[in-house]
Amino acid sequence: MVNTFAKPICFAFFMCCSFNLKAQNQSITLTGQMTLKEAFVEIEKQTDLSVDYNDQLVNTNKRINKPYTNTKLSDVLNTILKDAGCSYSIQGSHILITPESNQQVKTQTITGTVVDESGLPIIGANVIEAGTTNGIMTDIDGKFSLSVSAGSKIQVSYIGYLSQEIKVGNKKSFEVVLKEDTQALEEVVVVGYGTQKKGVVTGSIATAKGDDIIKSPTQNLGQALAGRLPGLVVSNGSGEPGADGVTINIRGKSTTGNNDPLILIDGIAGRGSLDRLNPNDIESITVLKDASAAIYGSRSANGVILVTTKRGKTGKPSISYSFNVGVQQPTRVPDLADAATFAEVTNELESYDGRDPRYTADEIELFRNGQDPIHYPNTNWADEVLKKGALQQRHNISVSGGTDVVSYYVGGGYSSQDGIFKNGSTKYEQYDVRSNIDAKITKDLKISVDIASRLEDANFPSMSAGDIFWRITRSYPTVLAQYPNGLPTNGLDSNPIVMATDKTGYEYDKKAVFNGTITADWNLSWLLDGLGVDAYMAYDRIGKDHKKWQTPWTFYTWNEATDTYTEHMNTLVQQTSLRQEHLADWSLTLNAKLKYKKTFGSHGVDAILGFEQNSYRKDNFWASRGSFMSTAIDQLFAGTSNKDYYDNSGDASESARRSYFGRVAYDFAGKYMAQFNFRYDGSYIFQAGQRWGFFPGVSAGWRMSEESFIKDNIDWINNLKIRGSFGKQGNDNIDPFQYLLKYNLGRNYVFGGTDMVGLYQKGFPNNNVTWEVADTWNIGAEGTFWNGLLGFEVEYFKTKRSNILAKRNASIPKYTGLIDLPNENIGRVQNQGMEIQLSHFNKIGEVNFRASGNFMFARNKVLFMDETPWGEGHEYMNETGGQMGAGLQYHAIGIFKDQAALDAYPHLDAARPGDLIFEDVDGDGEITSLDRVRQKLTNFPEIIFGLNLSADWKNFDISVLFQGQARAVKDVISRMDNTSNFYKWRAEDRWTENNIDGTMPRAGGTINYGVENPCSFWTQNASFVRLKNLEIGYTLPNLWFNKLRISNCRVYLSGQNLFTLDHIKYVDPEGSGEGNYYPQMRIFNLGCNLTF
Amino acid sequence: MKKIIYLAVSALLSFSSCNDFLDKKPLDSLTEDAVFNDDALLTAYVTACYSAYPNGFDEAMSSSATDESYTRHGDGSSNIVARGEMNPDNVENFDSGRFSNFNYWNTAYEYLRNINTFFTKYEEAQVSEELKSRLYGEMKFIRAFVYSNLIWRFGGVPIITKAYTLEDTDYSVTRNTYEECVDFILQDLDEAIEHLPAKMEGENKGRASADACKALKSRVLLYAASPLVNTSNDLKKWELARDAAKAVIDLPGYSLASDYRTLFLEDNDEVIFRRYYTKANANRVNLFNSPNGYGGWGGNCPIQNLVDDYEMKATGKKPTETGSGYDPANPYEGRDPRFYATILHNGAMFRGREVETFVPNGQDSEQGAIGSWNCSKTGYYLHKFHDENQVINESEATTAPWTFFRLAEFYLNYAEAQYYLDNEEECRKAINVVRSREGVEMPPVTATGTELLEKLRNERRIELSFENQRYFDLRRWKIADEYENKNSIGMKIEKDENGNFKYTEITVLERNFLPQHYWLPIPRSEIIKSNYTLEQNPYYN
Repeated sequence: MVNTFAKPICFAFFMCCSFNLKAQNQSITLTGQMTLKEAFVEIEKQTDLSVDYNDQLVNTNKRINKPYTNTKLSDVLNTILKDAGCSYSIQGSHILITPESNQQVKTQTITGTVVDESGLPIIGANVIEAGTTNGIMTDIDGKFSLSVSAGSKIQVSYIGYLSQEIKVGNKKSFEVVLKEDTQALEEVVVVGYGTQKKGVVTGSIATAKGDDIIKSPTQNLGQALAGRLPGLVVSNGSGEPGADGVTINIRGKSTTGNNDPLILIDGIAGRGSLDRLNPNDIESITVLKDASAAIYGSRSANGVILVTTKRGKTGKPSISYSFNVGVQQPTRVPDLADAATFAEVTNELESYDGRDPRYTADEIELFRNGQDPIHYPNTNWADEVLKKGALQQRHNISVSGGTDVVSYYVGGGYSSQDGIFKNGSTKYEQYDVRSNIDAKITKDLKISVDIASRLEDANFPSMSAGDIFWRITRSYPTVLAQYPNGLPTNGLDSNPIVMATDKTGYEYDKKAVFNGTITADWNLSWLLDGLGVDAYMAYDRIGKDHKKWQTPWTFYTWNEATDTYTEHMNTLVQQTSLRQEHLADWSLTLNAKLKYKKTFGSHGVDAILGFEQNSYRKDNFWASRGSFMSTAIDQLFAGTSNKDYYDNSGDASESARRSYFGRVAYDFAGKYMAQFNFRYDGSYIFQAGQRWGFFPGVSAGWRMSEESFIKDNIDWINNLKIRGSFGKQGNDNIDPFQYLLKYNLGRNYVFGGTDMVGLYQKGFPNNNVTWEVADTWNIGAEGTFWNGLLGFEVEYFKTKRSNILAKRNASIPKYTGLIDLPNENIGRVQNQGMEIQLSHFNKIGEVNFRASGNFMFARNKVLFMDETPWGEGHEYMNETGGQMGAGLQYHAIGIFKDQAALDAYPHLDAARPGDLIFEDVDGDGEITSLDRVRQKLTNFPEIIFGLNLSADWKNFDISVLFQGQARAVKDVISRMDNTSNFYKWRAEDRWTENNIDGTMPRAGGTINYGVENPCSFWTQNASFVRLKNLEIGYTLPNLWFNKLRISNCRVYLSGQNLFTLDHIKYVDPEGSGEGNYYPQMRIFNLGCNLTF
Repeated sequence: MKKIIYLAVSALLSFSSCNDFLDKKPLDSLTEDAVFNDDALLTAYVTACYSAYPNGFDEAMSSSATDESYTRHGDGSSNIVARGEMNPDNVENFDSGRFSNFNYWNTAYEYLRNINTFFTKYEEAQVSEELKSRLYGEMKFIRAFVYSNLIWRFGGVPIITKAYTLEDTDYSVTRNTYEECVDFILQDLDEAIEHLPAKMEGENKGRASADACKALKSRVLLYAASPLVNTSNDLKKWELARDAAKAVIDLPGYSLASDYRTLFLEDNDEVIFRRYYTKANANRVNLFNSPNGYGGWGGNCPIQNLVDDYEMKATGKKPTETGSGYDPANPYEGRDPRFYATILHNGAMFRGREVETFVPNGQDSEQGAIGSWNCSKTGYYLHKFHDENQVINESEATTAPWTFFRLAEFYLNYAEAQYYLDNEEECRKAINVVRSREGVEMPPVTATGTELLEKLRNERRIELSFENQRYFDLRRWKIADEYENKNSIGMKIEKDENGNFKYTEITVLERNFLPQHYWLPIPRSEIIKSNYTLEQNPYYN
């Protein structure tokens, strides 16, 4: 028996718009004199339906007897099929004809199990034969058994999970995995001044959950965000404990001014960066990338980051404790030249200046073979100064829970991070507490009190990390670091082995941060259904103490003949001094808003109207004394009484902002959404009369998946939405009071033996200074298909920033004396690009697998900027049309291999064989600064991407995060002259008289030094892919702990910055750091979470 | 109910009525009204303009760009000039860093605007007339000094007397001639002299005085009469130079100091104008120039070219001249006393021990245990300006003053003018005043003709070494192409087992001087921004 359908069933979901009911009600006309087969053809002709049947089972030759005129299709079919002993059903655009006699035969019994993603059985899940009331609930093991008709489908559903429809087919047994409804469109996302259901959101918003962020074992929250959020460019330039902040840019850069996004913590601006927040306290981090940020008005143009901390949920108290311990090591330390290479280069440098060699061949050989390590050492300064690894740890405990009246989240954390210097005194410690309490005082009134406090304690040696790394990378390898007996030498002018320790004194920054918010939320439904009002007051205070205690340290010289050591005082610091500084700032934010939220039938309205103001003040003072008699007491009073060694100063600043804002969101049946938001902002930064600005944003969305042509017909589309937005946003992130002509104290001069204070004009005023304005467009589509097998979000964005505050120093000559120019609203920059985010969730066997990838491309273009009038034919130097921040550099086209080559091509007077050849771009036969070409790419990447993979199997789980950037460059410059050591790479295959085909230029020569003569030779591709984060966890079986009342115990191994694939092998490709800085860290971490 | 919403909304909006909430003032600066109507603040404004003129205590001194010294830290700065590599594109690189007083263009014009602002506002300033008059004089001097320093470097420059603002639409200028600039400077100085006391003393010590104006006048007129700009050898110019120098020599109350070494460290009657320092406002001359073995950075090391020009005390002849009495085995014996006051040589007693520039293992040589990357390559260190009572380290600065004008220069200015006016006797007399100064007492000069000119030039080289003079002298005499094309020479000193020294001359830097380097190039960016109305100096591309 060939079970084929006469007509192939075709799916054309988007084209065919017929519906069961509508289909059955349409009218048709049949002549009467025809076979059943002919009637089916006629029905197909007159309707959009196709008639499907098995011609082996249905006798289509049977004639119909009666004509039908404009008769309902259902009536016609019922009559003609009854005679043929058949019945029909309409499925989609198909009329399925089945012989009635077969129905009994085709009934089958199926069995199965319903489980959740972790494989646990779901008890009480509904299993229903689609389109019928025939159904059953799963039992205690998640099992079911059900009789269904052939060709039917079953629907499996359970509250909180995504429903599934499964074709029965020939299968007898089913394993149904229900996925948690995480993509649920009822899910609530944080937006400006409130929350919205994800389904009706019309802006471009990205969210990372605290649970994911915490996987990165960094001590710095900012570093944990790299790669996790589409559109967020996170750059980490240093790994120094307590000074390892990141810069964050949303969707690239669009101003030559400040590109920092506005960061709000629980709705309050000005609470600092993300860096020092305790990741354990974070519920979510949300990024507003388009006009949805316009509600933050004059500070929103660079995007807005909203941090939400955890709150208690009704339920029994849950206590959790986590512990992490990790080892940090530099991702990269530059590989420096060894002593023999250094000696060879030194000789070459001497010869280029006409001097005799410094070292003989025998001496160089001794450096190379290491036979006389005391007189001919080969010192690797990095090895001498840096440890193989430094420890870090974090402990965190939190309690959360709640009753109907009060809910609470209380958390406390401690973390510490050691520096990587041997015997170093670098250490960062942090203590933090957070308490978020919500209390329902009456039926309608809720009061919340949030208090967070943090102590940051950063300790350093009195010499900066920059100073120490400067000596690591520049000290001669031919100089001993320490004598065989372990006593330190002087290095070159100071020994970094000692500089990194507490022998130099100490420097600390102790910072106490207090954030307090009290909120009242009053439900006014008794007055008008859906109405409410809330208000909060936030008080933030930071006290920072900085102290630098500098003490002279010693080093030794060795008299070989007598084998005696002489102690000397170092040459950098020869007196004990103390500087003490106190900074205090406080900030007060008041906010009140009226809220209205109601649904009228299919119409939903959600509106707010609010007021906010902030005042801020900062005070700072410091005092210092030098020439302490002894190092016994590190207090100011113990310093010298000679007033020449006293100094002190102080200053202050204050600011004020006031705003009105509002939003109206409307949706029709969750299908059509429109939103308008605005902010009317007043800022102290500008002159009265120019202080207020209006910043509106509009957006709209269409959730196509809610339309019945998709909802009812295309079951694999769970969600599909298109949306767009436009807004005007501002950026007031500029120095205040630029409209004033200011005089500053300074440029002192000595008269009569006394230092007299000078007073000079500080820059020039700009009376017309106003905000930068950004016109922001965004178009996006998002969807979830096949219950999460594919999720996507695609966005195109464009922003035109105008009124960019820039200085006209490119065109105004310096002889006018207009040197410290003010910012003027002259620049225009465009930034556009796209973002793609794809996600996938699947279960294969017992393995749950998730993948999500994000990709952003953003390119900015300078539309107008003050331009030096380079003159005709030099358009390649223009800034306009290129990327912001692109510098001018000579184009290196090779190396002059010999005098003949030098004579044959234009060159600078300073050029000699072995130097880089700069291209004579303007062809005037001379190399001048007019031959410099504007760079195409900058240190800031045009492309960033992240890929997050995770899987779990039984009690094991693993997550992997790859992150990277492309279309970025980094200058890697190593000065190879007689002042310092240099990268090994710089010396390899360098041009010498015996290696005239070398690929690197000769030693020395200002032409070859990329800082004084920026040139393309040193510019390298800074693309990279990095295994940013890897975590492998194991949840210990419950039965092990039952007696300990531990409900859950998970242990895990994790790592950060584990490996990097890139083109630059010498320094870390991230950031712009170049050797003399505390490098980025790789971290290996072991952690444990306990829940009681 | 609508009423209630209305009330709530208007309550919210009513916050806006108090707009002064947003009225904040900067808490770290003062406004213009205050400055020009307050004696103390206006004085402070003038004080800030004093930093306009370049002192000589850069890490790389102009001496290292000329044939006085060499600094191993000068590859990005003075060595570029010494190698003949300076051009319109790299000259601005000097502005930040070790050599910041060299290309003076940007600094000068920035200060000139502040000075010009003063002249546009001072008349209406509500301050005491006496103070106003004195400050006016001081500012006139400062402006003259700034322009002098510009023309000595660049030749004729644009004379700008207005305070440009951003509202100006045309910033293009042309250069005034050297003569026009000189006239302008003299005019400012003559006015200043009328407003200033002869000397500034007590709490005003260090301020511009009428005497300082006269000293500057002498140097300006001397330079203006010199062959580089006085191409026709107009004797009138020499007469003006002679008279100006004589006017300074005849000033009451000045005499040559009795100790050539402490002259540069302490107050004395020879000084006409200098910049003082205190601990709070200090320089780092000790750190920059001291030997590595003492913790210094070993910069601006005198070269053999200069050492060879110090005569023998006994004979008044240079070591290279026959009959000088020079002993190559003991090269540092019996030299002009100013040699020892200026230069630290191997074996010189310094801070409690002898300087060791010898190898092997000399503490101040490249084999020293301390800071060998700071050792001298020439075998010498700078001693002038070094106050042994002050420390050599990075954490504490030093207070040796920088002397702009001292009496000895004006004897030599006078001698030079008289030489060109053919009064050789007067010339010799003036030179011998300087040579016979207390503690120096070199044999008198008796030479005539070009030999006398040589002696005169050499006297200036020795007496005024490291005082920011040689660089300009070689140029205005138009002999830089001879002297600055000679390689910089150092002395390699090897000590044998018996403690005997072997002296070998070595090259420390291959020098080059090109015709364009008689003047500094105007930064190319300035020429472009002027829309090419500003003309570049000759021979620069």
